[in-house]
Amino acid sequence: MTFRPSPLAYALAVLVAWLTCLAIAFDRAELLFIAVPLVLRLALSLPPAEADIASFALATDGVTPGEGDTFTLTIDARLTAAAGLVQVQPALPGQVATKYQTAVFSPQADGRVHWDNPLLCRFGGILDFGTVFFRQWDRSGLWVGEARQYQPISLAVRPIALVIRTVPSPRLTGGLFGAHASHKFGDGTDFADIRAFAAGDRMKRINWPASLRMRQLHINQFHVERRADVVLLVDTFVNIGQRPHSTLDFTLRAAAGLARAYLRQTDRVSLIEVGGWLRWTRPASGPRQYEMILRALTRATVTATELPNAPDMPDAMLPRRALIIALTPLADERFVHIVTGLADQGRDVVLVAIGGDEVSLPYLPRRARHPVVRRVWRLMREDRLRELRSHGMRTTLWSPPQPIEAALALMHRPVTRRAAWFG
Amino acid sequence: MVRLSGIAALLLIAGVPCLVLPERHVLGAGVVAAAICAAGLLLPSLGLATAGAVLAVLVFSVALLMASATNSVIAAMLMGIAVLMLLDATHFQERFSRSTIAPGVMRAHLGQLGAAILVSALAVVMLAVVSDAFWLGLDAALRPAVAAAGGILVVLAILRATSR
Repeated sequence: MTFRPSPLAYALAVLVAWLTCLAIAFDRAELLFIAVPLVLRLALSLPPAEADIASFALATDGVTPGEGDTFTLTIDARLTAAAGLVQVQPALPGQVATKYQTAVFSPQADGRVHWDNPLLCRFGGILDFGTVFFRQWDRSGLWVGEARQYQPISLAVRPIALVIRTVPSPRLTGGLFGAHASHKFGDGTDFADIRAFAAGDRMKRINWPASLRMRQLHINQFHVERRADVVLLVDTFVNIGQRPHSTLDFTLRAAAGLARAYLRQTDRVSLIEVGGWLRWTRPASGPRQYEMILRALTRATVTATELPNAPDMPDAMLPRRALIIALTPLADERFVHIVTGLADQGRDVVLVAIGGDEVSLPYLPRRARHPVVRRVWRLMREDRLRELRSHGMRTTLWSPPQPIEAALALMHRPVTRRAAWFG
Repeated sequence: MVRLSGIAALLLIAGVPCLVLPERHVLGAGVVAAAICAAGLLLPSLGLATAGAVLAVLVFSVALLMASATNSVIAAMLMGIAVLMLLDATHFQERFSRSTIAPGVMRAHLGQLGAAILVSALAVVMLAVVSDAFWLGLDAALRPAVAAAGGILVVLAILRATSR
């Protein structure tokens, strides 16, 4: 750490020179007395001895934080010369917020400096730390030296999972033992029909009121309960707005919430991140799969790509009977092309359109925020959704300040192409 | 606490020129200089505070010239201390305004500033006594030359100190 004069030293020097000039110009020796405290300050502060950083350690408190959680970043260092003040400044990514950017210490006698810095995770993603700047000042603030240390630390911050109690039901069901009523009759809890008693039917299924009315034994029939295969298709082509209130953040939170809700119903859930990269989390069920999906969502970022078409998805990623839930701000044609292609194949597609104009509102110029402009946007978006429904998919519009459950409850059923165009 | 010392310096910067020449215009000019210094302290910007201090010193010099007072050493010393306190407080704020400061750092800093002020006051008194004795025996035509030589020596000393 080599010391150099600080801006204060130059400021004092300028004033001393100015006072000297004035004293000469005005022929008043009293003006030189003003310079006395400044000159003494300069003269009494000699440059400190060369110092270096003998040891350095950067660590977190070991907790895996989620979005909105606080964790502690600990900086521990030892300087070879314990003189003056030491200012510690870690290079923090924009993903974290802190009350204090730097800390100032008088080093201990052995030159040790220790700082526990509480940090707030503003949004999900991978946090990369590593560089810490050390600035040593002499006591008068006239000399300063700087050094930099590096120790890489990576931390995964999970997105918040939105609370979703009612999820879109799949049109087709998959394997045994689930919570969704199948079209088939069998053991289940959802009442389906009544039919005449046949040999081999269980006695406990007899519907006595119906049997007495018809003077013949009748039994209740139930829908078989099956699990569903759910594919969450996340659009990472574009991000509208500023994090943590951008469309990507709301997409990740909604995906985490939907995954949790379906996995609670013993469904198999997979995740496909479609953007500059195509990342796939294989379908599975259970709490472990929720962890896997959260981990995948943590890595999700918007990657710019100039490819004219979205990458092809292998069939293994999209089981034939799966319910496909697409989460998108409807801002990139490549993603829309994928979703319409899947719907045209006759797949069960639910499209949740995230209202990008609402989240980008604070960042727009005043002219673009005019009610007429917003109304035109809304009409264009509704027209777009109507066109998508004509491909046979269910659609809903979610404006993020509103709860997603309200948007899912208002889900529009698919309409025929003719009805879409002619009302 | 450091900001309080800066505010005390602002009051001195606005008021000290009036000790030399108690007039409304001088007070107005002092207040303008203090306002620039205050902006530098509050932003905080050492450049702005330095500009304010340069203006404050100019106001003091003009007041001194107009008053033609025989002895304004005390006022000059107060102005020097005020400028030192102002620049010190502004620099401290500029460096550490977004920092968490360990206990004892502030106390040590203010203690050092107080010691510097005390030493300065003693030095000014000593210099005033010595210069009075020296002034009486010096020809009036030589005085600017002596002042210039002293000033050049001071600047050279500062340049030597800061370029080490």
